[in-house]
Amino acid sequence: MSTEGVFSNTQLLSEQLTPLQALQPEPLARRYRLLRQGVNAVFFSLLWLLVFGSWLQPWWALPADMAPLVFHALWFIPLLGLLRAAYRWQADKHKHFALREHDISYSSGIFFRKMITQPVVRVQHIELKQGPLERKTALARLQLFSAGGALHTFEIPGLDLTQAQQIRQFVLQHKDALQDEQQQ
Amino acid sequence: MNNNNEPAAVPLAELNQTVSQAEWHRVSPIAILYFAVAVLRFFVGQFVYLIPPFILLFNRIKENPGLAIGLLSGLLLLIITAAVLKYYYFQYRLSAGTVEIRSGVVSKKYLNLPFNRIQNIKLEQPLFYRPADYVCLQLDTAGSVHQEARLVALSRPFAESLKQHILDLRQTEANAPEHTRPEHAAAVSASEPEQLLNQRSLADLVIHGISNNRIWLFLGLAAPFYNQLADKVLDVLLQAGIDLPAMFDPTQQSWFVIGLYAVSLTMFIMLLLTLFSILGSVLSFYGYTLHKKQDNYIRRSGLLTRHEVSMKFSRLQWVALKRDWLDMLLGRVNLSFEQINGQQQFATEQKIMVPSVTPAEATTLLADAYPDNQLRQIAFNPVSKRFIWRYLLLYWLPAGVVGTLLLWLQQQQTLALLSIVPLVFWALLIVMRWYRYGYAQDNNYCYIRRGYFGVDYYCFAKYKLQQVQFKQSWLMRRAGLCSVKLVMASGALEIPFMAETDGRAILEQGLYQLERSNKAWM
Repeated sequence: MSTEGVFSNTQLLSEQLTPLQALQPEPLARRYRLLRQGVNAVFFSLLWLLVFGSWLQPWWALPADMAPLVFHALWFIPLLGLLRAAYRWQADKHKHFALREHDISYSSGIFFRKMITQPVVRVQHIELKQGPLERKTALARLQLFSAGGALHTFEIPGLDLTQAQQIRQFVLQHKDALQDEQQQ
Repeated sequence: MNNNNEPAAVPLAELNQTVSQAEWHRVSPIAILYFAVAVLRFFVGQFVYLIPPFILLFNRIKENPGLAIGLLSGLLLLIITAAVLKYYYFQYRLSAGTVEIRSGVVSKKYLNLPFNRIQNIKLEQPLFYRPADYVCLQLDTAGSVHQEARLVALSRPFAESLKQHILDLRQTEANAPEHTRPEHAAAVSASEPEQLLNQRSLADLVIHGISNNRIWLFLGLAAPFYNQLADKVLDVLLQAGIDLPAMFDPTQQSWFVIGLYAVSLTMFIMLLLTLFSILGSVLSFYGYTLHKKQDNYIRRSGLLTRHEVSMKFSRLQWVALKRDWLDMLLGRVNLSFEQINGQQQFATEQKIMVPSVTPAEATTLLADAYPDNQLRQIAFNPVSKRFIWRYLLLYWLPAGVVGTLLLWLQQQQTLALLSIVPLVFWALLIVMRWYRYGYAQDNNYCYIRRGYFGVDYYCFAKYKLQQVQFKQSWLMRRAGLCSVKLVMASGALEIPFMAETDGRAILEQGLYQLERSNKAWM
């Protein structure tokens, strides 16, 4: 993690600008990937156990046309779970963020790459969100709201809590941030 | 208690008082009428589904008029009482820099709105306010729907001077944050006349009605009455010697004649719809004027209820010039100044639309907003032909092949052949979409062109950007292409399949402008 670079105070000259293309992407916390794998595994295990239980249970007979379906589900669910796990692993590996002096970028996507850049000047307010599992693992989601509307809320998932707090601080202390509010 | 007897210039004196000195006022009693209409509207809105059964029961009611009259007069009494109470409990207080409103009969509401939080000021004049020249002043804040304040019945001069005061306050704050010389600025601005930018004649509105169908409005309103309406129409036609069911009965007429009837009936209905559309256009845009005063655009229009919307120039996010295919034929443009689009349901109210102007007028209006824009001269870059391939291969081809094949296999050869017609149309749409897409930029502005058969132009200052997105699939990367999404407060615009170098340039320069310039977006 190189958040120290973030807090530099160098002057911004046009020839010094780092183009978005040349940004050094920073990966998300490794725990985030593991957590998502865990959630995936637990979900598919539970689903499989449920199907397996209904296959084994002696109390009521499955309808005749359901029986083959349930049987095939017994091998299909683990396969689906594995595929999803593999996809998520790769997808999470491709999630990066990068900070410049005046904006934050978040990129994602394996085949369809997408990079969202949110200028700090246009940030209206900031939220740090933590679900119960994220709290347990000290992860956080950082949301930056602009006037672009709810559809275009900028979010970086799976940040280290301290890192997320640092970024929030960076946005709040940015000299141009929230200036619109002061102007009102 | 009543401010309306005061001369127009005086009310501003109140605005120098502190909160403790200020007095609570009631609005003019004509507001009772306003509240009555509001209550009636509420009732109709709540019980609109009761109207059709009520009409069905109409014959029973005719037999028993006493009960109906009793019910109706009870309802009327209820409405009047509610309106009077609402009027009685509606009070407002003006003091330096704030307006406070107390309202509510059962649940009390108190609203304190500092003038500098006010985003938009609208004046509305329902028909029944016109004889005595009262208006309803509506103050919108940036954020929420619930925070809007309505001062329901003020005399026009009073409302105008209050509005001017609020606008001046904003103006001086923008110029000098320390409130150095408010009086001087107010004096200057008051003497500054409104500059007429555009007005629409009745002929323009008729053209607008033809090219922009507003028929859905009437269809929606008339929905509960369709069946009755159809029966009535058939009755009337029968009396006029036209028997519609017989005309369309294949046992009585030859197919050719039926076809002829069908065509003429369709034409007739189209004509009727267009007439309704024209009526709608005239209703909402009658007497349209667009003025500019200081940095505010002021739009006034309306046949029955006159609306006045003002928008501060700095709130402007983009200018859109939209042309339907019909607009293209008639040589007109719908120009709109769009601003913050926080709540979707108010999107149409928030923007200032100038209906059906000529291209020359559109250019003048655009030049007034953005003097250094180059929309007319600039050369648009096309997007890559891969755009067509993507939509053809990804959606059109699968849907076309599967759909047609299914129909063919089900022995529906005629239908399968007929399905080619919509497929061709769809393909044409995709090609036209590609053909219309275009983008350009200069030092300060971005220009985007898009559309299907019609064409829309968007022009915006780069520093208004809120967020940018860069998208690229693996295939696009190999072809050196990308898609770019530009998010602004008024919405998002996407340029698909543009050259990667251009896309990156637009993003970089946009971000650079907005981060470097430090200009506020609103």
